[in-house]
Amino acid sequence: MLELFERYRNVTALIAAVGLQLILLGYQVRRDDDMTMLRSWTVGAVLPLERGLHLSFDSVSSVWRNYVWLVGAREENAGMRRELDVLRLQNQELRREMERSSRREQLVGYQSEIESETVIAEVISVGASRDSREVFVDRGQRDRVRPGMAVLTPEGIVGKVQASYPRAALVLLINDADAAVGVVLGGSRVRGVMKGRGGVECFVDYVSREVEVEVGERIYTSGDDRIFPKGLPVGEVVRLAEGGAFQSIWVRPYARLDRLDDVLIVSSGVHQQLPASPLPQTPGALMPLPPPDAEAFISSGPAFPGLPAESQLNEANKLKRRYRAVAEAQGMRIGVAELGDPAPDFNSSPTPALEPLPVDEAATPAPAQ
Amino acid sequence: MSLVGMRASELGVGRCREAARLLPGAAAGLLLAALVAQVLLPLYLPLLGLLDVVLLTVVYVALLRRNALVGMLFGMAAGLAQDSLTHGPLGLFGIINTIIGYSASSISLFLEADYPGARSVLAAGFFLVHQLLYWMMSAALLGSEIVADLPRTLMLAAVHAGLALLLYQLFDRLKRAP
Repeated sequence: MLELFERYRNVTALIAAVGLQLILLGYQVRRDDDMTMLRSWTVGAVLPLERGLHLSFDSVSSVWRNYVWLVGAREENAGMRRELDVLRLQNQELRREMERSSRREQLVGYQSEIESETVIAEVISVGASRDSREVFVDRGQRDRVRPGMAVLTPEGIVGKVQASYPRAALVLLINDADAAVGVVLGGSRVRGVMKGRGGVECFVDYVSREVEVEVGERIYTSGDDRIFPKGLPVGEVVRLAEGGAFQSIWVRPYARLDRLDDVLIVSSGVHQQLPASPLPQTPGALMPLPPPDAEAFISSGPAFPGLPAESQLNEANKLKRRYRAVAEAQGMRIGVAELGDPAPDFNSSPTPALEPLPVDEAATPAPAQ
Repeated sequence: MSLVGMRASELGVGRCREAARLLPGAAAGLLLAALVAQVLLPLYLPLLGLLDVVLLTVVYVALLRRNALVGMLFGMAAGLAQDSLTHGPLGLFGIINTIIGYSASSISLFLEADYPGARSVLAAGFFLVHQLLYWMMSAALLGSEIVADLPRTLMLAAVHAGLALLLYQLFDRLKRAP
């Protein structure tokens, strides 16, 4: 037995190593346990180094731009040339600063604009898998960032916090193959599920073929996933393809997912109203208005000649008569308005006061003698 | 003892080509550097996100050490660390890199893997194996939908071969003097 083990020692070790990891993998999938401790160790080992390098790159490039390159310029050029180079560099620096501050300003502006409470975070690195779309941000548990929080930019939604560590958090982007977002089409207000495909574009599923969708139509969050607040911009439809039972709608997200810099993490989300539809879906064919028999009672007089007309009105017709009077007092007519016309204010009282319906005297029977 | 059961050193293979060693701590340093590069560089140039520097490091160390157990353990550590920096469950890259490390070490016993060209071709081959295992395991164990783009994968394998040629020259500076 020992000889056999010795002979196949390496293969046995390989099988044991793979088997152990399979058990580990199966345990996580079955129990939905994320093995946070091991992840924390690795993130703790890699991210400080990475953060240091990130800062070092910035510092080195800053020193190079502001000192080393200037020394070279001083040697090569004299007088005005040198001054010009310095000014150009300063100009570039200022432009970069301006862009950065403009981006941050835009973010802060958007932060105060939306009703949800948010935290500003900076993207510090991407995930380690080539096939995943995920980034690390510099906010974590210490900033009360928790898994499941939505992440967005002023342009559109970005993703959700997948894991939170003491000083960093992993954000799963919306174009990752494992990501899904509840969305609503801007034009028809029909709901669907947007799924990532690992590429630039995402795919909206579960939209019936009967719904009219147009290229360029805006997509918003529906709030159904309980991660993204309702009404946030997501992207726009870029192409439609023939699918099976549902339509194949491809969407390009508004957020530049491959060039993320600063993002907002939604710590307390508030749903908001969808903006007015830029592409109202009017029905292809409108039926004509119903014939006037429904209103024959009011227009042609009481059904029982001789009795006062007012007393022959039922409650519905009285209400209808009141609403018509209100609309006419505001210069509108019920039943003839176009799409988009404002509705009458039915809460206001009609002026002038309702006049009683005329009594058909000719048809009134003589009182009994 | 049968020929199959004999270890490579007993067959004389190991005597022909002594296993090289890295400077103390170099393997761990290389792994840490590869992980940092894997998560940091795509931030500046998104195209670099297509590269798997961790895999290239595993293949290098495994080919260099010519010891299946060392290659396997290094692959396992690298894979689990890589898993920790993704949203997926721990073990996916762990298993793949364990197999890659073991295979690379085993192959290095029978092939002359010191030549830059051979190492470069092996790196491309292991990239394809890595991708194949990733697709298979994602589908079989996690039920993920696989979007296999073969031309793109082959092109990436060629890119990894070129990168291996450059990186391995750099890594060779960390070898311990004989």
